[in-house]
Amino acid sequence: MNALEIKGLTKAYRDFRLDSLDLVLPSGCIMGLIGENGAGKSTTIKLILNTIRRDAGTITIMGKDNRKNVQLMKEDVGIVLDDVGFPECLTGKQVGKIMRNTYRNWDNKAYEDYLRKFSVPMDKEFKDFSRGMKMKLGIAVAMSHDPKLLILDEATSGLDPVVRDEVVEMLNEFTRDEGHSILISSHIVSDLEKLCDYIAFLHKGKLLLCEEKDALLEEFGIIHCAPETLRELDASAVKGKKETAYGAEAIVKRNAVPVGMDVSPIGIEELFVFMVKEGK
Amino acid sequence: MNVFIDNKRGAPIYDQIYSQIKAQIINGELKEDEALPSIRNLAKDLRISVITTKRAYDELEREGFIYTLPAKGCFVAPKNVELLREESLKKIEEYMQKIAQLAVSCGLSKEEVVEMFMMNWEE
Amino acid sequence: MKGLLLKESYMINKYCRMYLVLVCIFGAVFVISGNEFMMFYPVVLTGIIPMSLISYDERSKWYVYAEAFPYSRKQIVSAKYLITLFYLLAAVVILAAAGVIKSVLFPGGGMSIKEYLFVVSTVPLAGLFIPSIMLPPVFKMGAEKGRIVYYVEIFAIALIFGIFSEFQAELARWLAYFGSLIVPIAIAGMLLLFGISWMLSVKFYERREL
Repeated sequence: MNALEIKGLTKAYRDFRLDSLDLVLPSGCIMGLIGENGAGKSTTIKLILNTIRRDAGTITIMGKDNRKNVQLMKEDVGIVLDDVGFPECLTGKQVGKIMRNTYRNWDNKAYEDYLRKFSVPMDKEFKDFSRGMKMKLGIAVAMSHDPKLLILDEATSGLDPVVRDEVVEMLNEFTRDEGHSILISSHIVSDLEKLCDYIAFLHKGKLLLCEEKDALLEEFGIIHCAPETLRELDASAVKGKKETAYGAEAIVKRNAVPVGMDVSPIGIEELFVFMVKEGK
Repeated sequence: MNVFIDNKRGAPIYDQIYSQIKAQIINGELKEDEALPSIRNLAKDLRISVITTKRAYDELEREGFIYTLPAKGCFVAPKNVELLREESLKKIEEYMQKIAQLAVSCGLSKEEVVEMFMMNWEE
Repeated sequence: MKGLLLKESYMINKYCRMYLVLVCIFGAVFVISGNEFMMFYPVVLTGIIPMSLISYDERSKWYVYAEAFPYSRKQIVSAKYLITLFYLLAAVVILAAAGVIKSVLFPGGGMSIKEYLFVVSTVPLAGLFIPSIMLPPVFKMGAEKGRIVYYVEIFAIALIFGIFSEFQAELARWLAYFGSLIVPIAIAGMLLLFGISWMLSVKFYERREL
């Protein structure tokens, strides 16, 4: 059973349109949803949560329609949004009490352990938290009710590298259990690059690709050569290029360029930027 | 078991894992019937994708270096002399191909290469 | 829904403590001065509590975040209505206590205990009026736009009263017709208004896109 299945998801606004999105997150996997600001990541997540209504398409979470038994569904889903919206006057301890009376499977010990590990004080008011601390509280809450699926929307942006690393480590540990899955959206790709099993590129409401991360990194590579050499290549092999006064650089499909050509490995971020620019 | 991953350069990660485990099996660092970390735990310990480690293990199993017991995990297969010999043969062939490529690129003829080889063998 | 109510009460404790203090002060003033109108004011103040809470909620971006929790939109709305009722009840209790103290300290004059208790149980209903007309537009459109609609409503009501004052004499005669039933009818009317407001708010919020 897949943790998340999205088919033909469409939502139109006046100046933006999420266009027939298809996405499958197999159980036990981590999927990184990469896209620039305004690409549609948050819209997608809001549609998953049923915060906004879809124009078309289906969404199933752990096999169930996301519009049915919504409250029950949310018991098993941990969500962290980029704005952790707890009222400013609440303290960590109060949040814990509220959550204890909200979730069936609330584990207060786990919650306090997370806060302790993250050095989040129990008695400080939320309005006095730094951004990193707010995020850590959000993550602690999301992980303390035995969720099967974690959805994180830009949960690492604005965090310093040390905290980001802590968070990535926690997410890594979360998926040691094969019943646990994660959908994480971000425009900071470096966090996702190592962690993810699947990568999806979202750009202006359209899904550019959704593949196994390893397969992606093997399929594409970068070549550096003279512009003439570049022109000699099969057009379908070249996914994006950049020419300067000193030569040309191109993203290519490894299996479509001549053998012996020196193809360097590519990073996910570079791939995304090239693909977006090429599309323009 | 020691596995090091080079992210920046180098072969695809699954290949690095596969090669390193294979080498350790061949040189005896990993003993027969020794338990390997599960696909999932290895991935999480190395902070890489489960799909990657699965691929490495699948490859190792396909070539007979490890075996899987359902619900128990993966273990090092007993040393297979045939297998080891085959490994060495494969490596020799790899090197030979490289030699041939290099020779062609600097204009050596087949005879010249064989001559070089004979000289090196005798030493 | 217990978690939601807990959250509301934590917030009231922080932000709306003044109101309850005022209720106590006005109660004390009533005890000393015997002026019954002292009772109306704090009760009406309590009606402002839900609106105040919603403003703070929106500032924290609570409503979008609350979508993450296993609460229905109905529960999120109902928490505000319930907590309003609860604090009005608290105001009633305080005022009732004030009245009892008064008649013990300053016996005679003014109302009998029975009359007083009767008034105390109906006055808080006036406190239901403001939330009833304020909350539905706020749940439909958010605090900023909802507040504007609320002002329009107040203006419309004032206008209607202005028109009716022309017919004051006739109105007085018409009301006298009901006699002693007037109070129970007013109570029923106010409760009905509150109930309709509750249902409307739920309907509006369930349809809202955040």
